[in-house]
Amino acid sequence: MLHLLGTHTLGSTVASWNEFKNCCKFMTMSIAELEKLRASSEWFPEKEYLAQRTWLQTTCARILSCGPIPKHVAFIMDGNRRFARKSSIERQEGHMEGFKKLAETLQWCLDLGITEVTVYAFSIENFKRSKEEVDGLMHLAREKFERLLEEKDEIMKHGVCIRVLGDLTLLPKDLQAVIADAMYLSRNNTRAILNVCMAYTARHEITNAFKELSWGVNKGLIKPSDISEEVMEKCFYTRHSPDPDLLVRTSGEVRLSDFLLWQSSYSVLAFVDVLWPEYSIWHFFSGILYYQRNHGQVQAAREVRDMQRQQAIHDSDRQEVMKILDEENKSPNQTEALPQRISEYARQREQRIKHFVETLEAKRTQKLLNMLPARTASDLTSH
Amino acid sequence: MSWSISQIYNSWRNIHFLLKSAEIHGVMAIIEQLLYRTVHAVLWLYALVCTWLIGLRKPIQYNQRKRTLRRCQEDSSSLSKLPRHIGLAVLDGKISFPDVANIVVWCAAVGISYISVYDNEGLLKKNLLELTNHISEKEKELLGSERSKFTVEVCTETSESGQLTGNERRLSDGHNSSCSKRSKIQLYVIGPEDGQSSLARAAKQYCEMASHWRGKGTDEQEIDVNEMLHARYNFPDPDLILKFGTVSSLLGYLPWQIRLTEIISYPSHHSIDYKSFISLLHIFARTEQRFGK
Repeated sequence: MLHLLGTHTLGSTVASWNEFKNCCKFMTMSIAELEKLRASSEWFPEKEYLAQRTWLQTTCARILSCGPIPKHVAFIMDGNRRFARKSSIERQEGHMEGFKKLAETLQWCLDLGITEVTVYAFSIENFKRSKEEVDGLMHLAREKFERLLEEKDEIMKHGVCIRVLGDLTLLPKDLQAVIADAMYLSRNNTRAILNVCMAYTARHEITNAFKELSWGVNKGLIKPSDISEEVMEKCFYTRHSPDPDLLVRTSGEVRLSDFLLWQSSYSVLAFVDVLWPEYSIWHFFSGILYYQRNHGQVQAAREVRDMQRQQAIHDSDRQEVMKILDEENKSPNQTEALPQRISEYARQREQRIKHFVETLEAKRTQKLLNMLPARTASDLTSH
Repeated sequence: MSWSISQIYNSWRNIHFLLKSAEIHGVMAIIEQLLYRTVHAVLWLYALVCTWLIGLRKPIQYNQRKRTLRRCQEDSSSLSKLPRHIGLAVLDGKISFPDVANIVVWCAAVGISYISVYDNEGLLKKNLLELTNHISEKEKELLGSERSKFTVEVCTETSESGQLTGNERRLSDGHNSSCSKRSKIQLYVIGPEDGQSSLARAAKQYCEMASHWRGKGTDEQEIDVNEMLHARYNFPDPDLILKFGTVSSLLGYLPWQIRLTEIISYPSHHSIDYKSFISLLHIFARTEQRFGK
C-alpha cells in the first residue's frame, strides 16, 4: 500500500512536474511569440503584409513583373491632413496614418523588385505651418527614426540603406543626431534604398549644388568649364541615386511642389486622385502599369538627352583645347594631333572631376559624422 | 459520352504522369509564366488601344461659329483666373505647326501675356521661321480687321550680355507708335537645351563670377539662382503647362521654373479645337493652390 501510494505520489509528482514543465514551456513560448507579435516591425511590417496578401494580389504582381519594373519610384505623400479632416481625427493622427501607409508601400515595392524609393516627407516650405504642427511632425520623425534604430536587426536583415536628403541643419539638433545615426548604421546596405526627403526643396538642392561647385572651383579642384549636367548631379543630395523612373503624387494635385524638379525631368508622372492614407495596392499596381505604357517613349527621350549631353561635353573639350592652342600661338592646323589633344584633355578633365567628387564625398561624410550623437561617435573612436 | 469522358480522364492521367516524370514543378512554372505573359500582353494591348482611342476621339471641327477676338475675350472673362505664363509642351512626336500656331494665337487672344512653347527635340526652335509665319497667318485669320489689338513677340534665350541671341521678330507689321496701345505678348520658343543644360550653364557662369570676385578681393555675394535664370529667360514661372501627347512626362521642360506649375495633359495638339482649349483653361481656373500650408 505504502509502496503503491509511494509510486502513485511519485507518479503524480512526475506528472505534475511534466505538466509544470509543459506549462512553463508553453508560457515561455507564448511570451516569445507575444514578444514577436508586439515587436513586429513598424518600418518593415513584412509579417502583416504576407498575412494580408491575397492570391489576387500575388497574381497581379507576377503579371506586372512580365513588363519593365521601375528601379526607382518617388512618392509625394500628399493628403494626410485632408484625410484627418475627412475622417474627423486629429491632424497628428493623420500623419501617423501616412507613416503606416509608407511602411506598407515599401513592402509592395520590395515585393515587386523596386529597389529604391524616395519620399517627400517634409519640405522647407512646411516650416511655415503652425508651430504646433511642425513640432508634431518633428516629434513623429524623431519617434520613427528612434524606432528604426531599435529595429536595427530588421534593417540589416532586409539590407536597407536609409538616406535622409535635404538641408539637415534646418532640423532640430536631437533629430539630426538620430537621423545621422540611422544613416551611418545602414550606409553600406545595398539591397534596398529608402530616401526620405526632409527639409528639402529642389530649388534649395540646386542652389546648394551651385555653392558646392563654386567651392570646388575655389579649391582648384575643377575648372568652371568642367561643369556639366553630370557634375551638377554629383553635387545634389540625390547623388547616389539614379533618376526616378516613376513619380507618384497623391491627393489629385497636379504639380511637383518643388520635389525632385531636376531628377524627374524625364520621369513618368502619375497623379492619383486619392489621399495618401487611402492609397491602396491597386492604385500602386495601376501606377506600375501606367509606367509600363510610358516606358518606351521616356526611355527613348532619355537616350537622346544622354547623347546630347555627351556631345556638349565633347564640344566643350574641343573649345578648351582650342583656347589652349591659341595661348600657345599654334593654329589648329599646325598641330596635327588635335583629336589626341582633345582626348588627352578629356582624360584630365575626368580625373579632375573624379577627384572633386571624392573630396566632396569626404567632406559630406565628415559632416554626417559630426552630427552623430556622442554615444555612437565614441563607439567609432574606440574601434 | 461516358466513353469520351473516361478517355479524357485517361489522357489527363497520362499527361499528369508525364508531367510528373518531367519535373512537374519546372513545367508548371513555365506554364504559369506563359499565362502571366499572356495576361500582361493583353493588358498592354488594352492600354495601347485606350491611348489610340483617346487620340482619335476628336472629330475635326472647322467652319463652326466664327471665332473672333471678342468671343475669345468673352470666354476669358468667364474664367475666374488666367495663367500669367502658359507653357505649351508639345510632346506628341510629329509637330503640326498650324495647330501650335492656333493654340498660341488663342492664348494671346484670351489675354495670356507670356507663352512658351517647348518640344523635346528642339524642332520648334530650329524651325522658328516656319512657326512665326504660321502664327502671323493664324493671327490674321482670327483678328481680321482688329489686327492691331496685340502683337506676339518671339524671343529665345538672352545671352549673358543681355542681347537677344535669337531673331526677335515683331509679327504684326504695325508702326512702333501704336505699339504702346497694344498689349504685347511674349512668346518664348524653347527646347531641351533650355532645361537642365541651362542650369549647368548658369552654374558655370556663377563659378566664373565667384572666382572673379575672389580675385578682386570682394566678398562673395549670396547666390540667387532665380535671378540668374531670370536674366536669361525673362518671364515669370509658368502657372500652367499644357502637355500635349500621350507620354506622361515633361521630357525636360525647364526644371527650375516649374516648382508650382499645374500640369494639365491633353492627348494631342493635332487639330485641337478652340472649345477643348477653353475647357483646359477652365480646369486650370478651378484648381486652388495651398503652397505647402
